[in-house]
Amino acid sequence: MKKIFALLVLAGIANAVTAADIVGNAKAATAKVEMCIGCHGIPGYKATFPEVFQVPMIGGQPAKYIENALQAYKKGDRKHPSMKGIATSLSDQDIADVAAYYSQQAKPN
Amino acid sequence: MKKTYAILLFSVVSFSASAAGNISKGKVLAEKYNCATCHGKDYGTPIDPSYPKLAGQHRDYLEHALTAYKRGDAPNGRNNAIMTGQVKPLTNQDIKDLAAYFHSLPTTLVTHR
Repeated sequence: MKKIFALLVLAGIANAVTAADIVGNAKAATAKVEMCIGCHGIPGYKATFPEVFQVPMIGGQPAKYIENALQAYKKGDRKHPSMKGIATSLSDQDIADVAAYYSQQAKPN
Repeated sequence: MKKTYAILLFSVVSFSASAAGNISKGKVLAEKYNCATCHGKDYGTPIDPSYPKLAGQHRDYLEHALTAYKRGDAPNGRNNAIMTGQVKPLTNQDIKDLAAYFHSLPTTLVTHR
């Protein structure tokens, strides 16, 4: 029984470590955002499915929000064919890096 | 004939107003549904970094996002613990009005590479 507890505790720690390990690095995102800028970097760029709409401005959104959104596309909680394709190609570290990159964009003063 | 023109003009104006959403109606709806509780008092300073800034976001994107939450767990829908409940009472016109209002607010969001 004690052993099981020890294992559970260890497993808990291992989980915590994995989660804490992923820290977004905006500098590491430079190559990873290549596939974002084709739509999100072009002012007025429109998606045509399922409605015609301008793709959202993501520069300046909080990193955690961007991360959650990408994870939701990956997991299927947000069902959007093109964003699912993009998000599934990204690792958790890639997602954190991309989120850090866009959250640091700001309006020029 | 003049009357017909006037009527036509009027209907065009009112039609385009409804297609674009009504900013002041959107403001009332945003207050009614307490959007600021999460998205921040100016809708551009969310109370937690897991929530998006809405102020100044593209009108048509906001409509798309709210519509997607309304679709829920269906093709082109979105599942979200909070937003799924929030959009339930909204009509399509409410969504347009809210989107018009949030879009009209000053933004810190940007589009660049």
